[in-house]
Amino acid sequence: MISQTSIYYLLLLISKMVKQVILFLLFPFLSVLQNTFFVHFGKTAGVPNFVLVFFIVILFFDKRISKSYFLYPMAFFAGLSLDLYSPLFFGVYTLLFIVLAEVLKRISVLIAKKNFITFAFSLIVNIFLFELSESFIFSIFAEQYVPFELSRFIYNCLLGFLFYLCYVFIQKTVSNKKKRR
Amino acid sequence: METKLRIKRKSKKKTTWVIIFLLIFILIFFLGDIFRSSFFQHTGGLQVRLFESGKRAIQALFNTFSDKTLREENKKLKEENRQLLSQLLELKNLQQENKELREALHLKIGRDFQIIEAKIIARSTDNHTFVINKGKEDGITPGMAVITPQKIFVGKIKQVFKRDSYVELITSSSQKISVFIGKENLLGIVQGKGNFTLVSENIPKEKKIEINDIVVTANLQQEIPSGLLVGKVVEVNKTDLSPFQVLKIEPLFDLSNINLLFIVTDF
Repeated sequence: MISQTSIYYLLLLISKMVKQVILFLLFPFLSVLQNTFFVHFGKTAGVPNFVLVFFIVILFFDKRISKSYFLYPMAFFAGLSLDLYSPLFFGVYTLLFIVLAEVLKRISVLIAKKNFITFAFSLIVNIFLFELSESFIFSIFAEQYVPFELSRFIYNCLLGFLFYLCYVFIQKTVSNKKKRR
Repeated sequence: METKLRIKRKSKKKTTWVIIFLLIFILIFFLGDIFRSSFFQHTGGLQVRLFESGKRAIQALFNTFSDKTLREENKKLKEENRQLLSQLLELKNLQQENKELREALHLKIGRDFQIIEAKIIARSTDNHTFVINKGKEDGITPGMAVITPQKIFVGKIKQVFKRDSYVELITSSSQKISVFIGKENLLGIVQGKGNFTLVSENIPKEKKIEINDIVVTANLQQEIPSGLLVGKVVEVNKTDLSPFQVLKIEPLFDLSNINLLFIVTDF
């Protein structure tokens, strides 16, 4: 006989899994959006990297993800979504995101308090690292010099701050609703 | 003893994870093209719709901030200018042909090239490549030239999937093409520099090249027909240090206004 507690844990696990799967599916969706819809918005300065910024924001706020085994599959999925549109060989962004996940994990250990300043620090460091490694990879594998674009870097940071504000706003409204109940 | 066992177990777990990831990575590396191809195949329709709506959204946004009639007039003039340039080129070719006819009795009459119509479905964020909705099934092969209806050379096919292909712009820094520059038809090599610019660095200083001189493709590449418009000279730099002059060339296409493309399959 299956006990009630085991059913409870099974349901809990399923609900967690569903949350993760939704998060995983958001990456290819964001990748499609940034390469089709938003590609027209950044004519010369480039388009902000929605996948990268979303990945950083999610990992910064969700403690469980950065400590669990979901971190690497998530990085894997995020990288894969960018690889779909990349002119480079398949797997470059996947590898880059796995390295980025490791960096984020190490940064999260250093950060004791989660506020806007620590978020900005984590965001700027990660975007800077990503942009640098991206131009390095392009110059090696695609024989194509992609300079470090400050405008794209600023775009990404601004998008990150916007995501941060949205996340904080949603969290606050959810907690307020819970309190009322 | 227990701590040692725990450490051993942990390291074992880590190595199995590393092995699993490596295996998946290798699998993805080799199956990447199939994965990309099936992704574009299944989401192609959605991507086209999103791409078009993005274009419409930016146009609507732009129109609200600028004078609409002025913009339309400017667009018309640009289009007219492109057509005139194309006609000018045709006239130039005719003149050359006429000259050759007088010189020789046997004349090789150039065939018009065969083309396939294509649409852009997505663009990479680095602005050097884009995806079109024609692939292997349509007879596309890597290296084929991609042009606009005004015979402006846009780029070359880089990678081909079942129903989609990657196109690399001529402005990408990995692209090099042989061209004829100016009224004297000086043979040169043009290289992409990223950021939608082209540069030619091998024309001797003595040769006369002026601003607004037209650059067209030369008949030296196997897959690119000659006489396609590439761009116009916007800057001529000569220094005492080099025997060559450096030309900055602006491509004639505007990626944000391209609706239809043609792939040259045979010429």
